[in-house]
Amino acid sequence: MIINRIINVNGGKELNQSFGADDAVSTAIEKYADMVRRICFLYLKNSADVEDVFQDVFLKYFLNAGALQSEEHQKAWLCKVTFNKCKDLCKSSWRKKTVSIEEIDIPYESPEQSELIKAVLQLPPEHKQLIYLHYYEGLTIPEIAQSMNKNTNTIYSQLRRAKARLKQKVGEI
Amino acid sequence: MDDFKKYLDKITAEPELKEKSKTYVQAALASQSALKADANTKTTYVRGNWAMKKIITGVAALAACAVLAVGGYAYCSTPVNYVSFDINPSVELGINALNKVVSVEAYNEGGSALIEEIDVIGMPLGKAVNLLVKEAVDQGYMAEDGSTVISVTAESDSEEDAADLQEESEEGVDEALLTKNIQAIVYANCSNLELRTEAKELGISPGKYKLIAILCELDPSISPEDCRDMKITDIIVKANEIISENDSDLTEDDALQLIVDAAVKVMDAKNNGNKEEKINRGQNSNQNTDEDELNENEQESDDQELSEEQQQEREQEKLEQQQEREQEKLEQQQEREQKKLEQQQEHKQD
Repeated sequence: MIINRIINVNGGKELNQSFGADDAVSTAIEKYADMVRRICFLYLKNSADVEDVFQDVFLKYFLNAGALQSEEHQKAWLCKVTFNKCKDLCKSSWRKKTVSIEEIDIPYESPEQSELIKAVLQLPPEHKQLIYLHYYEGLTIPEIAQSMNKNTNTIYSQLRRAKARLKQKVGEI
Repeated sequence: MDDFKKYLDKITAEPELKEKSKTYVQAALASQSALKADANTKTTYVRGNWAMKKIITGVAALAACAVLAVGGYAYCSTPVNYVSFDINPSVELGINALNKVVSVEAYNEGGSALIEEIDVIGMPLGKAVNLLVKEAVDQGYMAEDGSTVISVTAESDSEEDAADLQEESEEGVDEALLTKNIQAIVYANCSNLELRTEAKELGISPGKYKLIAILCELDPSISPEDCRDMKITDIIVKANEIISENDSDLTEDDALQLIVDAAVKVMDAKNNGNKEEKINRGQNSNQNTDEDELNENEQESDDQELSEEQQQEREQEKLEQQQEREQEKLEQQQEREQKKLEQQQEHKQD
């Protein structure tokens, strides 16, 4: 409780500071928009959903900005919040049934790449997150474990399973 | 995995998306700060909100349970259809959506006497009707010659339901008559719930009211009040008299046809009963009342005095009569079944 209060008191200050200048918002969005968009790409196929996630995630970010001490912390926090939000959206059965599919049109460089990306997109949500954090953000497994509040060994085995699935579909990775 | 990285690198947020998010966040923050300025109570925002959510969820769950319980109780205890059962004791059973009896109402003294003796609440309709008929037999409301009409009227707004109820109660009555080994005429029909309200105003059971209404229509000089205490049998006989007097096309009406049929059966039963009574008393029913037993004893002592030949003749007569009665029973049953079939077919065609 006390911790929360401190966080929020700080948050309030930061908020007041950042708010005077809308620049803070713009800068932060410019800085992290691509990352959030990439995570969204892994989970969502619909621009309306992506928009939802963007609005939610960044609003939350500014409401809690004070508590995020370093740039790394900010990034990790945004990453996690985005993942959670995306997973929540995927879970909603309403969306599962009604969502329309809009492919992003970035051309693939090679057939292998296309196959790999499609295989990654078909992974279960948890595995996608690990693959992204490990292979794209380049986090080590202990780092991932820490950020996800899980045992290192759990992450190891989950990542192994994710890779095995990918191999099954694509062959060598 | 390089391919993966390269591909993801290419993904960037569309400028439009960024703009939209910016405007949204700025607007939202502005309204948030306005709220904060209003009340500085958001200090425990995270934890407080979470605890509140839990409480709200709990309360909502409890409320849902309560609603379900109350709803379930209401569903089970509210009569949706009614079956009125008249001989002259008139009783009306309220039937819930699960075809169980949930309320009983007596429309006259005989009815109260019946329901005082037996408690039919909670029983399936067929069983309840069955018990009521048996009780009516025990209390002596049924003529032994089989001329009594039992009217069973299913009241429902849905024709299908009404037909089901009618069938189920008819089965109950038939079974009871069979168990008590007594003959009676079952006049089963159905009506809508509007009739019930009209009948209630007059304090007559709806089944009876329907018959009375028909009678009044046939003979406008009769008022419903006059018929209040009449037996169903008498109403039917009277209606039949009027119909036969008029001798018009009235019989084409299904409801009237039913009455005529029932009345014919009443007459037959009465005639047969008289004959039988003259020829041999004491054999009318296996269900021996004390009187019957006495009669039988008398007969037995008579028998001893008679010569063997006479005895043989008598026995033969008895046998023949029994056979006749059985045949009649069979025919009646067949007729009933045929009627049922026809009615069902009509319902289906409707």
